[in-house]
Amino acid sequence: MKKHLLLSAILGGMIALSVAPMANAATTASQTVSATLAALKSIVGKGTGLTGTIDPDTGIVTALAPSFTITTNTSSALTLQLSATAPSSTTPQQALTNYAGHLGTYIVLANITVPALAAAITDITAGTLASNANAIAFPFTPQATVAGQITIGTWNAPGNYWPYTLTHKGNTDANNAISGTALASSYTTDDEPGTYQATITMAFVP
Amino acid sequence: MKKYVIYISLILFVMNAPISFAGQSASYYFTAAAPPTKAVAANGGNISAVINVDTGALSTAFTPAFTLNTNTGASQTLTMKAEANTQGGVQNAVFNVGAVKYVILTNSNISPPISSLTNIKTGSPTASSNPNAIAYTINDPPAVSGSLTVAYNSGNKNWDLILFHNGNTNTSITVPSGAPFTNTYSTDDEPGSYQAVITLSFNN
Repeated sequence: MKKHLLLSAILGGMIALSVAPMANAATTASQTVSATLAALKSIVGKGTGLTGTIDPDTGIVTALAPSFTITTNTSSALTLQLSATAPSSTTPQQALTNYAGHLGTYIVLANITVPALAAAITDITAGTLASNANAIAFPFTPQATVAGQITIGTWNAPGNYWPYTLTHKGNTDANNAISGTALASSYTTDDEPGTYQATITMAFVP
Repeated sequence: MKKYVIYISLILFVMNAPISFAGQSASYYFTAAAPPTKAVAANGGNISAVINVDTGALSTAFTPAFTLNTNTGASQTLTMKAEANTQGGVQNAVFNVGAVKYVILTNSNISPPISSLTNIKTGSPTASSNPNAIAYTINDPPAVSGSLTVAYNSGNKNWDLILFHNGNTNTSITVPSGAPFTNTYSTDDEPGSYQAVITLSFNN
């Protein structure tokens, strides 16, 4: 009888031990798959309104519209900069300027047929306007603030750019314009025939 | 010391008691029903990727894996499902268009409305109507010869598995890398972590 009891106790213990892990074994398991999506920052030039003519008598340029479509997937504030460069006989030079004495922002277009000296471009952007052959400045109107979408900041003189804050998800237009009469003393007979160009750039600040 | 003596005496008395009061021998049998063991555990696989912001493409395939363990070769049924969180709670994230199955990942940072999933599950979604939810192809879990069968349940939008292998059996499900289901990725899908939870369960 004692043997039975002892054997039974041992068997019971073994069963208990063998069953014990089952109590902790899960009959359900899950895995979470996760993919990270970053902020979309896309800018595309509209590609229209990029060519015109300069009247040789008046220095008036056909209206140009170097504009962009900005696309993002967030309404969180994103920072952008609008800048421009003009080609020279050496390296491209900053082409936007916003000096107070001339009532607004101007953009310098430089001759690519007879390249301007870099000094001719900086002569205009610095406001000297004394020697600027083959470089002409025209009024430039940057995209204005649109409530709830895009806000233009204060002209950044050291960096030669207009800062913007974008707070609109989806597509947002940034329409800029070049039109009107050349800045006084930037258009003279020293400006030779040719194609006058500038490159306007809108970029997200990383 | 006295206590030990008392305890030992008591134990001896109890053990001898049946013999003292009964002259015939008797046997006692302990019976314990041992039900089939059922265990499932996550077993690695890739569960993270990056979504291309321009195209919505998944950079790397998801391959969440599981290990099943049982002590019987008798058939046991399981269910594999995928769910995603929404503003209205957890929802089934699986749907199919014909024979092709899809899983919807939802933004865990900015939960989508249920309507985003509803729109995608129509099979002909409108990009602007499913913000913060993106769908990708998902493959059936592969059958394991001699161990596991798999069948997609088009009614419940999940997978029915039958396990008939004693021991360990591995299974997994794959979300291939590549383009999302058309019109489920757009600029309405905000930055964040897009997730779905894959669950494998024994049914009983």
